[in-house]
Amino acid sequence: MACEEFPNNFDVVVLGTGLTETIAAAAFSRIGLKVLHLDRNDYYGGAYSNFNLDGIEDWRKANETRNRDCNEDEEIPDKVKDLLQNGETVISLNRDNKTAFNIQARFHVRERTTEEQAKADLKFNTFKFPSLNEPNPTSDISQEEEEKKEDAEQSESPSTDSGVSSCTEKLNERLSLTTTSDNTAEVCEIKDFSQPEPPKSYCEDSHAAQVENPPKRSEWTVGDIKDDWRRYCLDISPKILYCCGDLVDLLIQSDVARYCEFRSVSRVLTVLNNLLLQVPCSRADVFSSKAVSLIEKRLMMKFLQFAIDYESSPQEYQNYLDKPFIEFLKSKKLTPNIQHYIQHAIAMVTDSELTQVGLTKTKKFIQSLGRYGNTAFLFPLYGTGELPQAFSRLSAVFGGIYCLATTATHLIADSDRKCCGIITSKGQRISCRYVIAECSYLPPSLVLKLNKRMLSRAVYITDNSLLPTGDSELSLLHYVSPKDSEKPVTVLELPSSACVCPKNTFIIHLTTISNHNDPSEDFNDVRETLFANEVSVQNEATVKPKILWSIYFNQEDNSKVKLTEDAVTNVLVASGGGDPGVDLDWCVAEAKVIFHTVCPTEEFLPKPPNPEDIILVDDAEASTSQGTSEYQVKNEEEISEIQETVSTDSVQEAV
Amino acid sequence: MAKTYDYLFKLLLIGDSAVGKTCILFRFSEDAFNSTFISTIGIDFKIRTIELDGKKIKLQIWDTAGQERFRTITTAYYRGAMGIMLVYDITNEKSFDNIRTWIRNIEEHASKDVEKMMLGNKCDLTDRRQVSKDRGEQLAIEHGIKFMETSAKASINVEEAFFTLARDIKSKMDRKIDSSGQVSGKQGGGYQLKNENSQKKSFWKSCTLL
Repeated sequence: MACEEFPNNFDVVVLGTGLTETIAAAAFSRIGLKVLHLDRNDYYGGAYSNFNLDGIEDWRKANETRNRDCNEDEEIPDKVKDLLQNGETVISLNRDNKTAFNIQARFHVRERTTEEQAKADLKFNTFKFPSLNEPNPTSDISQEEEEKKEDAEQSESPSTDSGVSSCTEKLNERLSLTTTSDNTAEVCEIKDFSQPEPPKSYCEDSHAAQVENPPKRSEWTVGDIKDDWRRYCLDISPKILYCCGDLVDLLIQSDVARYCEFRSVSRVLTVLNNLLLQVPCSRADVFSSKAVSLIEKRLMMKFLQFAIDYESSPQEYQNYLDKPFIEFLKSKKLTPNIQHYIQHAIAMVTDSELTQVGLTKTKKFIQSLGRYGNTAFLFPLYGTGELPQAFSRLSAVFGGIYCLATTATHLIADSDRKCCGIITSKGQRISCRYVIAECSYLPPSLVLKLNKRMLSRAVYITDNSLLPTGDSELSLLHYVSPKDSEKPVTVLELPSSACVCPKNTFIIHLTTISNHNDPSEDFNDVRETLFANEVSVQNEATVKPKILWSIYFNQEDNSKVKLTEDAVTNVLVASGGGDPGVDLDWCVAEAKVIFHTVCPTEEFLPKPPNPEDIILVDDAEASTSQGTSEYQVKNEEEISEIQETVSTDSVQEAV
Repeated sequence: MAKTYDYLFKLLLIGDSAVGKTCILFRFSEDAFNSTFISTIGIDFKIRTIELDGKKIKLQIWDTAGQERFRTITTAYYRGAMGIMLVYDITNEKSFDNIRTWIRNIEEHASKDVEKMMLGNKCDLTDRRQVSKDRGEQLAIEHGIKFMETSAKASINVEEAFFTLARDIKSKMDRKIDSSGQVSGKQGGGYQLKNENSQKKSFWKSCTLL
């Protein structure tokens, strides 16, 4: 199967399955262009991938042996030359890439003792297969028990009784969970009215998975974490989405939203006077907050009301346009607390960033409030790595051909220096009109990287939340170190209900601009402030989360790139991620530019027809209707009729 | 709005390319068959609502979108699936051998308690058979899953297969509900929000109290 050949002709070849590339590929396929989409890795996403605990270890090892760039002067192999036609030349591409550096991963807990290991093995290996064609009540019960890792005895001889009780527990928990999410509107599928078929309950099993409630551990071992390796989804570029941002709008417009689910970021935290606090950001929050006085409430409301429509009162801020946002805030006679909230938690700008930036970001934040959930942000269940996969599915549905662990070794240029094809790593020549390449696929002589900096990232598995409340909170914290206010750390805390880790654990992502050679040093300050000290943990009066496992790495900022003068035409470059921002809206803009360069007059990712409206023509009918098209879409009137009906229904439901 | 179904099940079709997954899907959802079907273009999922024990069950059946061809099915495809049809072609030995690989994939990416079922498709092509029914049954027993031979073309066992899988999912779910003594018409914890403009009206503009 895997050695099957590709067709020889495509309209567009896309190299790399990061977010920009997959959005572009989906847009091309959607309007009927033939797309071949390759990735050198055997997983989707490039810099936006997510891995389970085993996968991230493989990723770490692979990065150790990777080379940064190819040798551009290497001789062109004869078998490549044989594939060329008159006047054609080739350009060697990067077959390998190294965009993550200085990766260090380790456990911060002890290994299991021999007895503990023996006990754990027993629990794990007592699973029995049921006999065939019985309605097999035993199978799922023993399976559940295996997951629950209850007493080894129970799963050794699964009696119906014990099975029923475990089911009861599971369901009750699920019901309570359902209620919670109904109240707080935490899990959201992005939908709009014209979506006739809101698919429900995709998350059912993931919630079910969450509710198996292992006892809360006082002490963790390496084995306890490794047993659940599959349940971790660790992003290497964790991102959130502005509820009213371009990416959310695109997900809705293109129907890609049906491939993913989201949970809203439930709170925004900040560190003020050495205390970790929840920032009041919705109107209700501001009202009910005890952290701000009545006068402050008034001031904050007034400012935010101004910010949502700041353009219409330029006199308020025009004298501050060339000055930092912080000075503008001071001029508004806001209290230090409110200034802090607005600057660090809402606008998320540093002391030196200008008023225009601050106002734009404040406005975007406020606009995104109240659409889904309590804050301005959404997080994709199972991690950011799901987003490129979702767009790749849309591309595939419309005929895009996908192949992983395969890349292009050479670009073919014709005598006019126009790109006309590629040679794949399997030695096949493929003709195409355009090549879209993520920047790490192109040799250094063709790409200018405009941001010459590195990011430092840390991912922790912890045993608790930074600020536990009893609810399952998904938190964003913009941490400003008193030592270096220009290098804030973005902290994203994910609970098990985000489907990225087992119950009773948390994933905490930290991102900052690199300052040291060792990425872990960039987080010394935030680690001391927010996390339990490993050595003196016993004396800790306040409950801070313990780090159970950590990984640190540097990532190259490839978010701003362009082609050099030397580049051949009909090649377009896509950025390779690694920007310090919290959202991904810029990828949408980038993909749009790529798409419109190739197809200036076509619509970018219009709404696809509803799968229900695609009618297969039966063999018998097909022969009478020329047999050319295998499916056809109901006429437009009918579709709009259906959509109208649905939207009316949804309104009623919502009311 | 009155709900038009009691349950919604998300099902997946998995197996090598050209084993007839899309044909099975169309036989079941539209009672149609097309032999000139080349690949899975434009087909995301199909829906059919069936009735079991007086309950309306909406089956949403997802196709691979051709991403199985070079083994590039996204991990996202498996999320939230409640039942999986593993399909091979009885006239293609290789597609049968690959079932093990697909099962490994499912174990890594799908939910642990997903219901699985195996189908040997194209059973009408007896003269080209490479995989005996016995071997299919053996493999199914080995993995503790149910098995049927089907033909999308001759319309053999396709209905039965989906009804069986749906029944197994439903009874698993009912056992959970019965044991808790509660009736839950709607299952699932997902809460949905719609892109409703009226709901979106700014919190700040409407605020006149302060």
